[in-house]
Amino acid sequence: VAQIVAGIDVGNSTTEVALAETGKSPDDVRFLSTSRVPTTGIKGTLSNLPGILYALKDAADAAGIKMDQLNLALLNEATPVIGDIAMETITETIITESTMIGHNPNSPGGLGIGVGHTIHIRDLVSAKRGEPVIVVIPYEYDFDLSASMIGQAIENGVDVQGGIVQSDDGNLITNRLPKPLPFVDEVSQIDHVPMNMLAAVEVADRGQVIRQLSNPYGLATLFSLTPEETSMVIPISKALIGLRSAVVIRTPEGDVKTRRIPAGTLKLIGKSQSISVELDGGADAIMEGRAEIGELVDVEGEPGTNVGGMVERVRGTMAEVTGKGVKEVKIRDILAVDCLVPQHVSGGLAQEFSMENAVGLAAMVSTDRLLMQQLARALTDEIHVPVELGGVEADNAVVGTLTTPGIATPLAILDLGAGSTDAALLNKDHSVKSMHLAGAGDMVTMLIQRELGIGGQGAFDVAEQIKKYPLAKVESLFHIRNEDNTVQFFPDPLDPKLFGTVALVTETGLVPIDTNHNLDRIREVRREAKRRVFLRNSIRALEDVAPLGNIRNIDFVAIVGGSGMDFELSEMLVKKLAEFGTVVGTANIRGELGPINAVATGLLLNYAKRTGTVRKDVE
Amino acid sequence: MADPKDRPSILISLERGVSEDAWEWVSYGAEEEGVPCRLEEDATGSDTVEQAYNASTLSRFGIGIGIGSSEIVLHEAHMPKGTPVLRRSLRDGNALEVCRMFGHNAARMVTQRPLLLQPVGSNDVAVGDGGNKNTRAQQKKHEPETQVPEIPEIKKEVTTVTQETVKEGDRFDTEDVAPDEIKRAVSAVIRNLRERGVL
Repeated sequence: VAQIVAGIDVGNSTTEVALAETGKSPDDVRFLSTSRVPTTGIKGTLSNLPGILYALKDAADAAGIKMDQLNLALLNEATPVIGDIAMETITETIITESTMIGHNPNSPGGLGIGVGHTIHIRDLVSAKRGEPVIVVIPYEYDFDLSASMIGQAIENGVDVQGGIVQSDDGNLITNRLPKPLPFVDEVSQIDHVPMNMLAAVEVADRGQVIRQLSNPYGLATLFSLTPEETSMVIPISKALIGLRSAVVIRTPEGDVKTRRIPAGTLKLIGKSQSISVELDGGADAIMEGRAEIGELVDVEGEPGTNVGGMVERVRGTMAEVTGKGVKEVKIRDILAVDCLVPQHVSGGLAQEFSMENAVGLAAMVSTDRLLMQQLARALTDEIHVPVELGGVEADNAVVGTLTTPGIATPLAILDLGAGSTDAALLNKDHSVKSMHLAGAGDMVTMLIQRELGIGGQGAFDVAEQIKKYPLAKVESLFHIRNEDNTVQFFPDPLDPKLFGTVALVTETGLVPIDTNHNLDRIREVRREAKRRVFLRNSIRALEDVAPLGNIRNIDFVAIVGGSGMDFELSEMLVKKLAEFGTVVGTANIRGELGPINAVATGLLLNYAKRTGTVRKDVE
Repeated sequence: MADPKDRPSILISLERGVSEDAWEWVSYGAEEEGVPCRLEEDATGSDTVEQAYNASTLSRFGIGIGIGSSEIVLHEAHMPKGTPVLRRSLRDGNALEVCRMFGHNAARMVTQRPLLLQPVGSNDVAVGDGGNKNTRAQQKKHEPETQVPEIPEIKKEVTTVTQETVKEGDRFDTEDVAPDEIKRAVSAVIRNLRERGVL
């Protein structure tokens, strides 16, 4: 007798359903419809129910059947892992006295470098002849007035060397002076600039960057610093590298230092040994330790340090999700990634940033089967249809992937999800070996968000969008230049708000990104994040499942899951894995669905195989 | 040097009878961005939009500004005649700041930088300091996410960031009196000092 069965796959980010009619024989499977909706809640918890119902209804509607015509629902035994991520900076720049304005206004005025004592513009009249000064111009003094006052002072013999301006008037002032002088403008916190202190102002030409103030010896020359003092100003120079204009003010008590935050040690506990790794050593040291230890039993962070806090936070989240005690949550894998993140310099005047070292950590913990059984029971109550757990996720995924045309065993599948990277290998003898690693899509999103310094509420969503969509620069009201340099024209004028911005090219149109970064920088950060997480983990996962640990022993690799739809990932993976002589590509489930619905499809196929065989035996 | 008429410039059409100050402030905006601009008397029109459009078609950059007694309009030569890039009323009390903003924006059309949607030069918001404003705009953008019925979490996936219209002009009306007054006061002091021969 034919029956209608639903295969349900609850993933970290999406819930997928396949509906099929199964008959007597294992091959008698007629697929009716599929659906895909975002997962509600964290996978493997009761909060998934709304998403599952939504997906089931979608699929039933698409197949033209009622929910009560369903005979059975099969739930995947979800990959028993969930991941979490955390990031901490390990260096920090602190300026104990306000001593620096490193600033990239859009249009600083003038050109060159000026050194003198800071003086408020209203005190210019009382400045001594021949005295080198840097004029401080608050907002109340407009450019006409400022320029005439400075011009007057110059005529009176005051040696005006440059200026610091609160409003965006740098060019307007310098254009009205008898000689061009460097003016740094748009300094919002101008009232924090100390008066009568030795200061240096530097403005570089368009397309250039400052050289003197970003060079420790340059600063030493301008301020006559001793070697000891020179070593103290390194953080200032570091923070000013790559800017078009800057001001450095020397205050007597001024003190700048890079503080290395005690990042702590990470203890990796293996089956037979444990290794302690200094977080200071960066991601590579951690990953070397991780490789050395083999199978990981748990991870501990040194209490009272950054890493201790990070590990505990992950453990806390996981405990909350799984309903286990904090002590019972065991971290089974970690992925560490180095990055440079822009951090506010404490003590700066114009919201200066300094690029600080940070380590991002993704962790994965095991959940248990009990939770899935709870979910299956709850689902039965809800839809009044028997729900079964349909076997291990990896087995189903591999079977589903085998429906891709042109594929054969030994086949490895790579599922780069949101929380974890999963790989499974199907051998010729149909045994399946699977592997779950920490770090995937969410980690990439976090890296993008932190490295680009996207702040505010919804920052993670913005980063998520950057991960998903290619970029374009809006060059006119009628055309954009895509990141691959192709130009696209529009018949109707674009919104003026888009003009000049870097925007994401989405299905629903152009979405501008609120950032001062240019297109190339955003693209580089995005691709680098994918490389460091997706590529590194793919290799790690494939080496784990490959016969004899050699990727060359795998003939076919197929990318499944949502990551298979990423617009650049499969191309990056293909390039990387080409060196192993393996066929790599994005799966095309049932020859039509692309990389999605592998598990749901596999659930149905495996079920048909099981029941069909049984019935045949009975007959 | 070629005839100044032949030099690429942003062209500005000033309606007869409108104060020269308006065009001067436009030119300050363009100057700060480093792009030349000048008045073009040949660009006329029956309304400010047409003035701006005609100025843009005469401009080698294809960028024109029309200043009327009640509004200012930024136009680009490729745009449909009746669809200017930006237009703002000049009756909100901060007319000169708005003029300067249009100068900045006309220049930014040439240099391909994002346009300013608020006048420049309030005490706490500097131009380059886009960070602050933007974060606020971003927060705004994401607010609607929470008001979804049934299955709230589903939103996370399907949200596309939609740019909400930035409310223009509702922040500066009360603040911009002060700088002018200060300017007047300071000029008076300077004048006095000059008269007394101190300066």
